[in-house]
Amino acid sequence: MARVKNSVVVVTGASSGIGRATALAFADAGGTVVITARSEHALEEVAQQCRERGADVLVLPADVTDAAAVEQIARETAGRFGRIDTWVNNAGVTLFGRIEEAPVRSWHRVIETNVFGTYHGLRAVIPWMREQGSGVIVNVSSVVGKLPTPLVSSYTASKYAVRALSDCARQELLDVPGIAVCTVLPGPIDTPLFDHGANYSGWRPKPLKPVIAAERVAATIVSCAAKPQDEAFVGASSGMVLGFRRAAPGFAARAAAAQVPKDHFTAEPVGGSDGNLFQPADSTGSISGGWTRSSKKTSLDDPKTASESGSERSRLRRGMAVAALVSAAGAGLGGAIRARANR
Amino acid sequence: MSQPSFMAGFDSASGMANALAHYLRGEPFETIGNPPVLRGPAQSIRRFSRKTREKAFIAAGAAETISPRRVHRLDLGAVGDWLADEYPDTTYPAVAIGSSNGALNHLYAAMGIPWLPQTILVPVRQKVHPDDPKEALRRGERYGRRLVEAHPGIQLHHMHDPNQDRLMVRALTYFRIKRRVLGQDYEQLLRDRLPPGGTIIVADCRRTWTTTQVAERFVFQHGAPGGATESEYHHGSARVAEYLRRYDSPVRRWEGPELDGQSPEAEWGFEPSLLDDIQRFADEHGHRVVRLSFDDPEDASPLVADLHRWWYRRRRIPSNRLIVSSFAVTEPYWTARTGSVPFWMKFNTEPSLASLDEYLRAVDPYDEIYLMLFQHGVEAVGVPGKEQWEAVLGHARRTGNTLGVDLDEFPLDFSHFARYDQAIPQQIPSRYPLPAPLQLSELEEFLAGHKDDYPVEYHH
Repeated sequence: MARVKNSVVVVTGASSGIGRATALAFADAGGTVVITARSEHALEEVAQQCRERGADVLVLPADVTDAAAVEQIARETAGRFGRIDTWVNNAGVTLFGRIEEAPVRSWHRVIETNVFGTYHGLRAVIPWMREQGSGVIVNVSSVVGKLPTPLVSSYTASKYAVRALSDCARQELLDVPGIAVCTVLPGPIDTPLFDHGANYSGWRPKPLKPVIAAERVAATIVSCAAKPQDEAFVGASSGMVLGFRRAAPGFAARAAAAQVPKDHFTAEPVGGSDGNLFQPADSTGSISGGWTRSSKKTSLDDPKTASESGSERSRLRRGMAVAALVSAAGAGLGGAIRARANR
Repeated sequence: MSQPSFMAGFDSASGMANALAHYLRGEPFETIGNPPVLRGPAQSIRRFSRKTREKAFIAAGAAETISPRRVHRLDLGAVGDWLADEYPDTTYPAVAIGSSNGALNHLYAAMGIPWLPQTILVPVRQKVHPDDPKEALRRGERYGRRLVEAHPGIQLHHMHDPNQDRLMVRALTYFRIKRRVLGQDYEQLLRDRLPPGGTIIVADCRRTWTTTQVAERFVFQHGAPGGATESEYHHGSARVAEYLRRYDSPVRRWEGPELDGQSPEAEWGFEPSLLDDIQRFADEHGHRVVRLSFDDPEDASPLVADLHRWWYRRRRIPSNRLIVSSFAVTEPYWTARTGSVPFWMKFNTEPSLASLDEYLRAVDPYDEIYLMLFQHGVEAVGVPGKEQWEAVLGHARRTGNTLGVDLDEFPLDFSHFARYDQAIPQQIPSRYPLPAPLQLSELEEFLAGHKDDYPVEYHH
């Protein structure tokens, strides 16, 4: 972590979830942390936790949909600390609901926050990093940035876009070998996102299993700052699901279409809500959304302990193997049926 | 096609055209240290005694000379052919022609356009005592007459500068050739690269010098702009006497040939007869002609620097870093890649330092100032000392430094020639992509907004 110690790090969306865990992780690693989110109250709490870890902290409340405000964060950070070593574009919101049922303005808002927010961060920090000749930009996408997922179309589209933005930025910055752009693609994470997100699905959402602790994503982000890589997956499930999608894209899409409505929601009916899309959540924020049994046991020293449990991973692997077999059989059966029907 | 062998490589025209061509090709300009095998020896020359360094410098100049008997047979059209090969084979919205000028060279780079020099230097083998300008003229006269007789489209400015060129004139004499007409080579290049409707930008430096008319289209110029004033060359001064004493000269002032008129300055001045031919060509081919006119070569430097600052801010580049170049030691590629503002000094002498100092006092302070300094090997009249250079670097808010020059060794740190191109990327970590060309309309917008701020006239 030599590259992280004493470095200056900006984290957007630092009031809760992955952003909050990331701020604390950088503080633990000896970094100077600049935290931003809409809720100053929640940020102050995070700042206090960072200070308790011995870190220098600057709190700059801002809405990432405001390009000028994000530029100001970069300017103030560089002005105060002289440089920006790592910039984490993490701020994100979500919206549950069908494309035709969710309000237009809510759908737009997810794109504005997740995509425009990332774009504003890139646009703000690149000039400073070019000036330094160095820096690491970490954009938090998601495994759904590679995997179409129903009922969260705006979120999925935004995460595809974040990945594309990362790729474009990386290409544009090839002339500066000292600047790296990383995309982090977590699987389902235990964060308050599921409670804070807008919801027009009619049911209370929950993360798909296996759920990973946010600290594990934070550890991956810190690791990218120290040793950049183009794309970093978090969670064993991500790689397996993507492999599955590559091997049998048609079946994977149908399987996701069937699985997500069933496994991504509880049986608890809820009314339509814009959640934290337009206003920050009332609470002071937290890292976990309470979706894992053992999130308290997680440790940055051993990121692997952050997933729900080892047995959960084993169950997933078994499930995926069965799914793969079923898909192969299903594909064969389907083909046979279609062949008969075409006779 | 390589650079014509009769063109001096250590000259402003060839150096600037080369650097600009590299920029337009998207390449850094490797200087005297290229090929790489020469870089090591060139860098290590600091270790040698002053006398050895002087001899090496003279030898480098002597290696570029041509025999005086060859002068009238030169194929001057090879210059245009060489430039046609150097500049990328594409069409341009504008092409610049005229005076050598380091500041404008940065402007051409920003605009992504080529420049065709009016004046080139032909170093002719000749050995005379540096402090005997009359003998320099006498020895060169016969060959100069042959040259202008053989080439009706040019005029010759035979230049002898015993102050700044004290070392070089021991091995060669300076034949500066100015085009009075475009010539077939430049016309062909313009036909190929400048579409109808394109603009010809004329760099019109009105700097003159008092000269001696030798023949039709042939003048002799004693001295050159730099540390000593024109009057000091012609009439002497205490500074000149002290300088001559220091160099063990048998004289205490120079006795040049009788002066009889004013001519465009040999190296920088624009010979106006070329303008008529440019206008004729432009009328025939549907081009627009615009002219940047100024009295002294350095007049364009504040304008080009401020234009870059204005342009960089539009591109969201901080524009708080200045790279000062001097004479032919200039690198447009790395200046742009590091997001640096260029300020050009025509030489390394007190008037140049004063113009830089005046500029820095007038503008918003720069955070960083870097200095590239031509080395000519002579502690001549009007060469500033280390403290003066350090004082001007002190205008920087954060960092003021040289780029590979040891000021203790100035003006004999010849290793600088093999260092400065690498020193820029080594000392400045910032990296910006080469920009899309600055449009002529943007230049005109800037000039319109700063009408009386600079001693540069824009005729259009």
